[in-house]
Amino acid sequence: MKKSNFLLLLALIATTVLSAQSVLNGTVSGTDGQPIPGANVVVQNTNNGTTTDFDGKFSISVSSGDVLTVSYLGFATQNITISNQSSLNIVLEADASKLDEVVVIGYGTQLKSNLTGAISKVNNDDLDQIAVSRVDDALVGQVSGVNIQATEGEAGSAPTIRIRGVGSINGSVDPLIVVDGMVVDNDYLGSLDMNDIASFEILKDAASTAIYGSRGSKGVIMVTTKDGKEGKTKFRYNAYTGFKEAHQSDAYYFTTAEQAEFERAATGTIQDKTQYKLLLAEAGGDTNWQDIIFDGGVINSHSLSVTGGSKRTKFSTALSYLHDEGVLLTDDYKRYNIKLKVDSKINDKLSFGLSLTPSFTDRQRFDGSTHDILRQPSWLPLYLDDNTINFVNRTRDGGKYANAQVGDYAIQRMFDDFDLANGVPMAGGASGLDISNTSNTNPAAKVLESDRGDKKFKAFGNAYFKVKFNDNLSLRTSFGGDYQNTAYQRWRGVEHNRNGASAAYLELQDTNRIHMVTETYFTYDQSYGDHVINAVLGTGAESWKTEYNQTRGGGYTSDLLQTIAAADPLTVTASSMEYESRLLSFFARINYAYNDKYLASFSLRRDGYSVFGSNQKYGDFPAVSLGWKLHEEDFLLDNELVSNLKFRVSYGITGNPGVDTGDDQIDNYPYLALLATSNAVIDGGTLTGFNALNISNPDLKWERSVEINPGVDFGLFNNVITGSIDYYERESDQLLLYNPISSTTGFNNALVNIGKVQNKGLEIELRSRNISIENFRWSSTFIASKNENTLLNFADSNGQIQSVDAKRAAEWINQVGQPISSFYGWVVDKEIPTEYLKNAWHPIGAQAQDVYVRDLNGDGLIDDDDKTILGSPYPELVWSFGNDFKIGNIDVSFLFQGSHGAEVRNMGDQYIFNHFNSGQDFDPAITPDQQFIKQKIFTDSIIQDASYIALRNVNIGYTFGDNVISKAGLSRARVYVAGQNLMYLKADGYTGFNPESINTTSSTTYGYQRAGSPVFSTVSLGVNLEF
Amino acid sequence: MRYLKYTLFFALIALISSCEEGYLEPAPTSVISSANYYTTPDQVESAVINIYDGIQGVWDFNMDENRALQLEFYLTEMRSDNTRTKSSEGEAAQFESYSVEATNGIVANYYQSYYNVVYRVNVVLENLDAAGSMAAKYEAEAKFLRAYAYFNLVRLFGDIPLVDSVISPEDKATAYTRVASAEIYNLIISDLTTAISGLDNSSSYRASKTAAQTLLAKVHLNKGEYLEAQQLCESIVESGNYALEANFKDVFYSEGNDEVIFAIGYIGDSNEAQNFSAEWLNAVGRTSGVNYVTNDAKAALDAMGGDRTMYSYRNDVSQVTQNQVAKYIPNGDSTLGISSTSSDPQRAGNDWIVLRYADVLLLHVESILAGGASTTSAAALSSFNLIRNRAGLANDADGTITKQELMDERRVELAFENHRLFDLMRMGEAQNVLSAFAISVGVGFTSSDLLLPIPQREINLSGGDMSQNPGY
Amino acid sequence: MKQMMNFRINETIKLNLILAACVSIGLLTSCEEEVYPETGSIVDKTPPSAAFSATQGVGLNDEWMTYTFSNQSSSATDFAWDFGDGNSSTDFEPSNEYSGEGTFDVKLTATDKLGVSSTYSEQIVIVEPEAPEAIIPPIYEASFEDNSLPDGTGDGRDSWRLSGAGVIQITSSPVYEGSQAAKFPSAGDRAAYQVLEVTPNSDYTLTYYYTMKTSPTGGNVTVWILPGEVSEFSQIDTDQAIASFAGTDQSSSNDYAKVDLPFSTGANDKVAILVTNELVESRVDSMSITAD
Repeated sequence: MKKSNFLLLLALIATTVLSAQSVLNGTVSGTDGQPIPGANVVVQNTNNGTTTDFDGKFSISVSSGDVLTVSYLGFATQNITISNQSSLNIVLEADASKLDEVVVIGYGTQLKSNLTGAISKVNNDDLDQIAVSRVDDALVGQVSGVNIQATEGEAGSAPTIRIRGVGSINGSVDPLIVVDGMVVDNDYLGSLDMNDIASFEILKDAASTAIYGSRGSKGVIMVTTKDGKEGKTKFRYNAYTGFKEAHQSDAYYFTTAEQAEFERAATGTIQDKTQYKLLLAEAGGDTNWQDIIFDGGVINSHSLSVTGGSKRTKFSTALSYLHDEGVLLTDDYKRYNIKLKVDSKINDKLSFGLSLTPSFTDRQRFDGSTHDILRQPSWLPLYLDDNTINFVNRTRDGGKYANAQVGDYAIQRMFDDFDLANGVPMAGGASGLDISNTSNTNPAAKVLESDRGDKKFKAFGNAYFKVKFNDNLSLRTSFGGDYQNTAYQRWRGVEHNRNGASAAYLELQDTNRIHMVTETYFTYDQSYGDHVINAVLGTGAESWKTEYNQTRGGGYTSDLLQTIAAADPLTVTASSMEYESRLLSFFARINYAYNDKYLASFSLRRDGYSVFGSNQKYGDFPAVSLGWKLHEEDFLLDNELVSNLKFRVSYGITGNPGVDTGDDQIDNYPYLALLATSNAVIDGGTLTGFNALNISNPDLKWERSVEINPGVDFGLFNNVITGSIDYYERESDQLLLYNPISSTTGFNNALVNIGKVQNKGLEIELRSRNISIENFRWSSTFIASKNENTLLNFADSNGQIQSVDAKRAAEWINQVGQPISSFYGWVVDKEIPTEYLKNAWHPIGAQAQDVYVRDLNGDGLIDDDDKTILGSPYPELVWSFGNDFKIGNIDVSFLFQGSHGAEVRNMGDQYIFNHFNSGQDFDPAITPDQQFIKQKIFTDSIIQDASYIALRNVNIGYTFGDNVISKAGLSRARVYVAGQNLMYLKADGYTGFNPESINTTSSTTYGYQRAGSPVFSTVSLGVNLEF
Repeated sequence: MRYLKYTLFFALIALISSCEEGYLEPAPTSVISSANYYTTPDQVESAVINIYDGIQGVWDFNMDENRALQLEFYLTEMRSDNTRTKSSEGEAAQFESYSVEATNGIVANYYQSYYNVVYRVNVVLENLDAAGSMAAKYEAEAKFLRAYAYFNLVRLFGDIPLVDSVISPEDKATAYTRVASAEIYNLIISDLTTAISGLDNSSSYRASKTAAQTLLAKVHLNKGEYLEAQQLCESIVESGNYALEANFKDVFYSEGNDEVIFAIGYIGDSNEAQNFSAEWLNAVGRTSGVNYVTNDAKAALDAMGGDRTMYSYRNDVSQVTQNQVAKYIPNGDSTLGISSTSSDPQRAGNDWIVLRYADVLLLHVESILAGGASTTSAAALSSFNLIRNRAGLANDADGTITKQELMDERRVELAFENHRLFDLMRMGEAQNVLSAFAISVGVGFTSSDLLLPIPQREINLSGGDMSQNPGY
Repeated sequence: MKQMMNFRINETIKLNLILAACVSIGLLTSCEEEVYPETGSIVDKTPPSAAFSATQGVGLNDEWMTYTFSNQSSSATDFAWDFGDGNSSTDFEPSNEYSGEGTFDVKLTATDKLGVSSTYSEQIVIVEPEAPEAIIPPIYEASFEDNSLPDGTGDGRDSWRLSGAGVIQITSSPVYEGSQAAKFPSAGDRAAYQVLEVTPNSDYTLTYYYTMKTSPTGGNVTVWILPGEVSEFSQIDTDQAIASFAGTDQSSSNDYAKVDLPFSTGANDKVAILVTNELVESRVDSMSITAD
């Protein structure tokens, strides 16, 4: 893939060089002498055209007599007739009335200056230079009100995206994703190629998202891919190579010697176990399991795009390849993308377009869990070597390790029954000194000896026809859809499990998902004098159909054949299912502007969704927003300070259909009481029964969000400083919740509409062109958002206490007046002195699994009455601060980003310090005040501050001068070095790997961190070429 | 303008395709809606089969799945003086140390599993009309299983919610009101009485007349109604349908034998397999070894087990100081002549015996002892000696069976079959025996440890309406 | 141009001040430490409640005098027991050996560290368990005498009637003792039936006397011990009989023969005596029962 890409590139360079001819070079700048990048320069009535580069420079082949048309958004277009100039400096007059940007909104576009809702736009200026495998990872810190958190660390795994907090308390709070006007599966973000993206628009307030009605309440991310431009065919080649390295946790690594010293210092001596561990560590060297498991990796990206077009037909194609090795052992992510997009005018009335973007991703998982692995002691080697093999007891466990050889995985149990006195393993199965704390196999073997991954083929296609009846009225009909096939496989090899071959198995899953969309809408534009009207009226229908098959086989005796056919037929089991849901919509919107000062927008959408009961299928989602451009008023015209000022306020109702019970069948038919087959073994055979899956709820309906959003957009000093401030208050009620119920009903949860959550917050975006002179430009961006989440009503579930893991039932509480999903439990009073622990020094030094807690009501007993709220998992403030510099040919940019006020329940401490090991128990015979002792897991002891400040991105680039590149036949050449997370500050008191890493649980039990995956930094080198 | 036609045509399709009849009500294809199910006897029977599926439990290690029977040993044997964890690790160790937390996931899982069984029963009872001529049989079968579930629940948790029909989540009164155990026993007795009259002895994997009689005998003994118990036991003996296996080993390793009155079946390597057998073996299951034999139980078996000892426990080859249960071994034992029941021991096929004839014979003795200190009754002696002789032991020497002798005989005969704790409680010796045992192993026992805590989850959900058992 | 530039730079400084301010606000908010409530800072919603149950010891010796107490108190930390016999304890679950039979008031006071307390008391009545003595059931009109019922009435056979069977006759000679005996005519269509309350799993002996006419030969007078109770003669199934004795001694029609009929009650707390005869006129007198 890589290779062929380069070859192609070379071929292309060659051809262009050959076709090189006499060129006119020039620059385009504004009246203030500021270069204008991206201006269109076209020879009239030809396809010969180009756009200016970052410095406003362009070069175009012309012959005398040609007329150059130079145009740029916000400036008056100029026509220049060419005589025999060899260079040309064109100065464009700013056209205040046009100083404007087009923003994509649902089913249309709008001038930014006329927006009345809260929509942020992010242009892909250099996002494609951030060395991450997913487009959403690159969006971190780019937009206010959007919190993007890499909650899982595997290469290619999706981050958690929250727009304006958690408005829902069921599982699905991810925003709606719309690509080129078509709604796609969230998962689709993982298959997009950043190089092909022109811009993101994030619709935040209800008035903006209401046009997506039932799916609007979680915000909408609109992705616009690159279009062809009229003019000369343009080739772009972007590539980078990045090197990733994990940030380790010092708190989670001790050498054997350190532990021994620790013990000696406290007890004045070291026990036999520890002495033996020291012997082993000397023989094999200490093992830092973080080094082994967080093995770092390389990320490579190559993208070639070809765009161009004539007056009638424009095309945009791209070919890209990405390979991310990830920072975890065995995780690996490959992505291949192809993009074809054609837009054509058949004539003045009818135009059509077609786009097809197939992609293929191949993901190799890290088939383990960091918590499990980091429980391993440092004295345990990865493989047996010439020294450590001498400590293997070949007679114990009934001779299980008799044939151990150098190079085998080392297993803790091998080293038990040691004869410390003589420094050799006990002979003849006699029992001796044991130091193992688990019978598990080698932690790396678990990962290396299994093979888990998924291959996804996705195709996103869309075709539209557009009829322009006249200058005012047009009709657009589109058919589209995305198809995805996911082939999942999990192989557990014969060495993966301590039980060896008997536990080996292969599991195959195959999922086909087809999402069909058809939409038709009229657009009407009209202006009478000062009145400008833009209206949309349309309908759409969508359906999602999923088919799933699963097969599992066991009884393997070797790793040779990893197929179902090679399994023991008796062990092969299979299952399959399919389900479907459908959506039917009608929508309308009117945007109205009077005198270009007073703005108003009204929209209404009616959605019908198959998932809800017959009487509840339809929901109506209206919205209204108003705006007032003060700078158009006489008293502000030509004001030195204020060049742009707009007040706006919006109100809207949106919905959330997300039903998330963890069972796809229930999620698709929750209004029905469903029965699935169940088997019982009678007289040696199986008889089939039917078992109820759920408690049906025919009255289930939309979750509803009502949001009001006053805001202001401003520009100061002739728009040197621009920005916007938004305040929002969103109340979401009739929340769709899979509510826990008494298990005496026969079920543990029931789907209900219940409760009310409020999110209110403030968002600030400031952008400034600080300095802008010849050869030196500096601009800054500051973004901050504060969100406060409060549970307003929870009916009779108020005060509901939940836990994620029946086995380690740490508690969360959902209490009115508090943020949802607050940590709950006892308050730590003091640690238990080590002398009271049964065996404080094995396996990890001086860590009690228990702790003294506070008797809040002072009755001398610790019980439920003594529990209290221990914190919230949601951040209060998220901010970012970015700067861009341009000095001559060198450009520098960096972005700081931070999050504050969130906490996590860090289970890492529990596992790594062996809080489940009996050695860490207190000795009931001698420990005082035992009635005040509780397990740490139920206290604030493992609740930690998840705040952080990161230097997210740094990018230093050099753009070659024209003289250099024109020789190479290039129109632009830039090389850069970039870095992510080069600096990452964690709150003190946080011991884990990554404050952003959160386990997937329900939104009522959010903030559960099971060691998670590490923060990592990436340093990458890249090149951008255009010709 | 002709292009307009085409476009409108497409627009039309778009609308038509979406507005067709029932577009918003796609029917499920791989599950069925219960709305119009349960209309034939066969369909009602499928609901009856579903009850056994519930007791059998889900093959899984995930504590959110209903594991039911597969977790029972934690709550019974491991709270008695018979077994413990191998390395006293994790929440499994709470049982042997009598420090069970209300948040214990195993306890919560058992509670929810058996109420789920009760729910499955109630579904059957609500749809009996559709069962036609089979109604009586299915009712009897379902009620036996409900009695079985409640009998376990009431002995483990004391006063518990009484659910005798399908309840909705809104019915919090029923869900969180703890009903006096006496009332629970009334339901159990009436259910078993119905069962006895409606059942035959066609299968030992489904509810049977004898199974119901045996269970009822136990219930009567719990309530001190000795005569009723004795009459039930004697009618089982007189029926002659069941007999002791000549060889003790065959009780567990020749499945479906004549001694088994009621068993729950499993099939190896399938989704209908069980994983508790593997958990009992060091480094074979997921745990580091649970339900390991205490020295106390080992001593009892060595002293009084006779031929039963070698098939009751064996030495752990990988840790010679440890002893494992030798009943229900999943992966075979050549020295004992036991073959494995599956290729993956974690998916074992060993059935679980709930009731067997030896149990009945010893219950017969207990009913004649009638709470007294000893008995010389000939009837008692004959039952007692049947058990001893099968174990290769001589008749009771002095012709007097003391309470202690009976308890010992039950312990070694039924070791690790989840009887011990219930036996001690029924005979009123739990507090004495377990206090002494606790002291001997250095843990703290109080009588409140005999009842498990109501799962914290339920207490939490009840919003304080539901009271906890003393001591938690 | 230059002015323009300076002007911008000043603004830049302003701007960056704003930014600095915002950032520092951000950092400040991050420094909020969680503050948790202190010990004893909230009210106790669950005061102590005392409760216990008592179990008498079982055994072959004096275990019956020892009571074990199960503490069922909740939300308490300290316990004071008063066993009602002068003994006391502060253990969580004590046991107490009483001096002997009697009635005692046991009191438990449960207290928490806030000093709140709750008291529960229960009366226990201690009696030495009798080695289960078999009840000796009364046999009414055992000698078939007039007015021999407890209330001084009766015709000597009222206690022996069973519907569906002919009522027995009374004879005044020969009798074994007293002035009357039961007479069973040769037709053999009469039966005497009486139910006795007995102790299950106990051995008894029924003693009675009978005589028969010397001819015709081949007859018998039989006494059955039957389990349970019936209300109709037709319900009787003599195959179920626990014990029976068929008298066939026809040597003399005047001299009564003595019969001791032992039986074990098994799983029955009621047995019935049934007397029938065949072929030859017979007499029965003076029934009595003893437990072995």
